[in-house]
Amino acid sequence: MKERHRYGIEGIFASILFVALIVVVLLQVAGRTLLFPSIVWTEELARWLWVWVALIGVAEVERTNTHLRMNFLTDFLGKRFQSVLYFLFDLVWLIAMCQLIWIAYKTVMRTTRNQSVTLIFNDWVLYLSFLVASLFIVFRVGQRMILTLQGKSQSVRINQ
Amino acid sequence: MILALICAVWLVLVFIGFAIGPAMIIVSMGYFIYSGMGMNFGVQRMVDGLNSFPLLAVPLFLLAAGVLNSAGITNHLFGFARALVGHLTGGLGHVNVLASLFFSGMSGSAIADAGGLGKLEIKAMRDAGYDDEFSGSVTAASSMIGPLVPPSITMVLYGVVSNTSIGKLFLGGVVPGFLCAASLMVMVYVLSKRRNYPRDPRQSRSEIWEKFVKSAPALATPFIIIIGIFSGYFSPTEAAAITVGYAILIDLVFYRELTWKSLWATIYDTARVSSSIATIIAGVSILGFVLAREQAPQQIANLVLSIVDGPISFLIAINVMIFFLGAFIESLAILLIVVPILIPVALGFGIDPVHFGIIVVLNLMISTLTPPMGMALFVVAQVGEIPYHKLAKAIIPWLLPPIIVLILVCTFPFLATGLPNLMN
Repeated sequence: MKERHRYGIEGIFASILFVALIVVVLLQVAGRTLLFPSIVWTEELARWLWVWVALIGVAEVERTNTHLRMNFLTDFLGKRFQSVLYFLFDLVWLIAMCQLIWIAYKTVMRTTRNQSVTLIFNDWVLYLSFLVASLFIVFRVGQRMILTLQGKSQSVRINQ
Repeated sequence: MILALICAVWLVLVFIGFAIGPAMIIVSMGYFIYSGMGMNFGVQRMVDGLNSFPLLAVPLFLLAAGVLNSAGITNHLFGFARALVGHLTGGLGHVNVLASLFFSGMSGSAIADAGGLGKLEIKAMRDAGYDDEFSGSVTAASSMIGPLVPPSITMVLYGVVSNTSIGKLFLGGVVPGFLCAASLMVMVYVLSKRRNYPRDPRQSRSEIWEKFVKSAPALATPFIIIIGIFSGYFSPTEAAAITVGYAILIDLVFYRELTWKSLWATIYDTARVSSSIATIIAGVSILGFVLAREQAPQQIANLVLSIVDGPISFLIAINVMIFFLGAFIESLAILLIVVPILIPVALGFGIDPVHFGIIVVLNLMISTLTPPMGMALFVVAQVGEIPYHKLAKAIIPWLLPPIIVLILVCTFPFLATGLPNLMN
């Protein structure tokens, strides 16, 4: 993959949040061992950051087409048949994600008043991660489907 | 009937190449539509499934392994292992196993081991005149030690799904991990003797000492993790973050090979791979609800209890089942879907959860070597540029040593529980 295409916007966003997550967990250890009283919000913030990293990162997984999958049977199929099969998979996944966007939106709306235990944000910030990730995923899957239709499909890669 | 249909649809989707995590979500959504329940709490369930502090250890340990690989620490570990055992019959085969054992103390992933050390090991073995099949097989087989010796991502996940102490699981894996290493070295010796593989000249004590000094900061990592967890200074997740910080620190002080660019690439790769795992966890959270609603745990427990009549026959049945499933299904999916259903049955038979955990993890690691769906084989074939079908054939005899260790661990529970009980 060309260097300029190596990182997608979702991947960069997830990586920045990941760095923040490491800092927060280290702060938690430092807070407990070096400071008194220890910091109470670090654990919840770390969990929320992880959910954001994980879900936004899924969009990057879609962009790079590196989901964990078993392709030893499909490897026996011809290139054309593979393209049709993966196009159908993408179509099913796209429809499911569109449905999940609506459910995620309703979940965010439902949790606007739920207060988090230690953070200043309400719970909707946590569930917003799913909504944002779903939008990115739909965009990336749609993009891949268009590429497949144009005959420029990216092959499935093993995720290491 | 519905339960069988759910499992069948998911398996068919996975076998024809649908991504594992999304397949679980699709099947669950299908169930919700069929049962008229609606998906209103589906998103919440998936997010809540990920919202767990112990789970954070997974990306953090993956990152620690990635940083160690990028920092070139693997070269020093390989050099030290070569100085120690390179002169034995089949020298580089032993070096391969020992380097994996050293690396496993810093990394919790077989794939990180196979991908990181693998390239280096296979190149060195190829240059020395070992054939590709032998080099690839010993690299893949030794990578399974990674998740047995602490830290271990697989054990973190087992600890989360079974509510078992991750610290105890880490310690429980030490003896089986060393036994696997020893048994693989015996295998290397036997095959090398027969094939007359080369060996290195013996290195002097001062050379060994010099290489030890270079590797010592990296070799100290597992001790920091274990001592930190058992002294109560930090939880396994915090230990993972400490390991990341420590890996960066020792590179800054001793190795100085890490660049901003390589560090960023490692963080990015780890975030992406973690997200791939997270999709499966999110899928399991929602599929788990469906399975629970269809009373799958009770039905499977009843089925198992109708076949087995005691802990020994239960362990045999479970091991055969995991071994068979592992050849076709990704080990992570087995761990997160099948194992939680089996844990209550195991506890019912009086099997220690740590003992059961070590057995499961060991068996799952063997499954990373079993074709057609052997993840370690895929990675080694890729990094070593060895045709997959050749490696899949050559790995078969290498399954014997870990299977013997698995039988030993099943028969003698103290091999897994002795060290954790001692620490108590």
